[in-house]
Amino acid sequence: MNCLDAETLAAWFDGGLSGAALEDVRSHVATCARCQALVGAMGRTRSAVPAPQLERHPRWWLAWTVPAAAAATALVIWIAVPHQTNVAVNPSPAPALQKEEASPQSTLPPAPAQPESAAPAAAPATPARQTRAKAEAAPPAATPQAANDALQQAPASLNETVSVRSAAAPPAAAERRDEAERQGAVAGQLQARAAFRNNLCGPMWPAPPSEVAAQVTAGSSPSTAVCWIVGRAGTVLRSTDRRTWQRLTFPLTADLTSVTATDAQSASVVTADGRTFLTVDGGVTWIQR
Amino acid sequence: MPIDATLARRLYLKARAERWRVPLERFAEALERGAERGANLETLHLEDLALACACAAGDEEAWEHFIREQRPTLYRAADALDPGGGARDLADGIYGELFERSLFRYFHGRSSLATWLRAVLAQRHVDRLRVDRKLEPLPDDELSLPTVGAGFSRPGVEPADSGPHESDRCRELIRDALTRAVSELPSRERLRLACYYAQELTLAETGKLLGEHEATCSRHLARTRKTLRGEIERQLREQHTLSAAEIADCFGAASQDPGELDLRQLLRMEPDRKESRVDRSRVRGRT
Repeated sequence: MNCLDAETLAAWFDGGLSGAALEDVRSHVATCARCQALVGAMGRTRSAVPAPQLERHPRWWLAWTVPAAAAATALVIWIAVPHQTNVAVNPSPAPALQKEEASPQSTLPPAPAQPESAAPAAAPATPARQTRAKAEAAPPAATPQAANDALQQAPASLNETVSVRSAAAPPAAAERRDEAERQGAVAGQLQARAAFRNNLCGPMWPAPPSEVAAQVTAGSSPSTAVCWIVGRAGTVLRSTDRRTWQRLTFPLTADLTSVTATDAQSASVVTADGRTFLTVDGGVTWIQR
Repeated sequence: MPIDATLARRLYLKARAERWRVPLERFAEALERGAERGANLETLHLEDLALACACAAGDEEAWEHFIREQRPTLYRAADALDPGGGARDLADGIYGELFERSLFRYFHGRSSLATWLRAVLAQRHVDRLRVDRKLEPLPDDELSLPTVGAGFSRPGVEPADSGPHESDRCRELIRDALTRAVSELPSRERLRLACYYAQELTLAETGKLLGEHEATCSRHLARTRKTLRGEIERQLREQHTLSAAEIADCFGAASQDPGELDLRQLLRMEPDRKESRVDRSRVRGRT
């Protein structure tokens, strides 16, 4: 048998061969270097095809993931910032906490430093303090990876705080320390999310305009000079010069959750309810798939 | 092979070919070409076939639809093959041929248009790589004698007892044994190994090409690995009279540093070509 032509190769991958033709193809490819390389190349291009099966067989439980994730996020925020106003009303921290709050990144007012020996009650809180000190010593998250790491670290520090509080420490000092650490965690999360939004296209791309920065959800950079960003309420931005962002018109005000760009003219976006829209003329017209 | 008119009409309607203004006769001709290739007409990708017929006939609306649907796929495939953008020119060349309508006649609907375009691109990419590789000059060290295990393969040179040489010898023994073991595998098992290990397809993709479930594919792969290991051990034990401890050491050395051991090369050995070489030598011997 001769080497596979493209039509036969495609038919094999799509299950369009049968009988003797299928067996001939299999036995030939088992011993042919070129055809094995073709199979490998086909495998590498698998990501080029969007998965149509997901649209044909929608998973019913996927509809619950978005509200469930939103509820979980709301719960985390509610737990993390329960008494924010109390800190503002009572700005003088306990002596045991003053050394910790001397960090320049702290959101609490600075207080005079105290000798560590003067705070015996703070001794059990050392692990939590070390964790927090590490988080503060680290530079601000500058890449999406670093942002994700920061987001993952925050719940761990919260858990440590809870366990330390139940273990020892006077109630007032421990409560203030918890407040401070919660605030630090929330600030870290916000900082990480901001860094993530600013780096949807890569670390060297300019941040999106401030009026839409909080709206963006996803980005796609098909080349070194082109990046597309989408966000809530039909927000679509494109940059073709790595300096400025151009806001494109999208026919709907639906929230957009992902974008896959091919070049400066072609991109497909997916709305929160799963619809896919394509443009091949740089966002002038959009067609629903 | 003429297609029954009723069947052609039914498939024409199923393909919704009328929306691209494809004449029934032209669609029937496309079906006939597919049937000549051994296609099952009932399982053809009929809508894609109708679209290809319309594009080949120069229908503007069909062409615009084709571009809108398939161009991102083709460019994504090109970028996947060469993230540096080196395959984009191949994609552009394919679009040029499609625009001239010459390429559409090779599409018979046995796959989707997207898969067919990926296959055309993959074929051109691989062929270009192979041509480039043939044009590359051989490095100097390939022109000289192989260095791995050279001290043992040359006649008259006694094997040394030092560690590195022992490792080299182990690697060479295992490579030779593995070569023989792989060449004795059934065609289907070689194909499974090639798809999964050499070409890095997923288990699901490998299973699909072989017509089996991915779990079955995984079990077969595990069995083949076990078979290969047993065959290598047998050869080392019987042909090279190595003890069990020495065999274990050899496997350890080969797993730490496989050297020139490349399963991809072993799986690409072509028995047909080897056979033809034998035939040629026989002819030479006779003359």
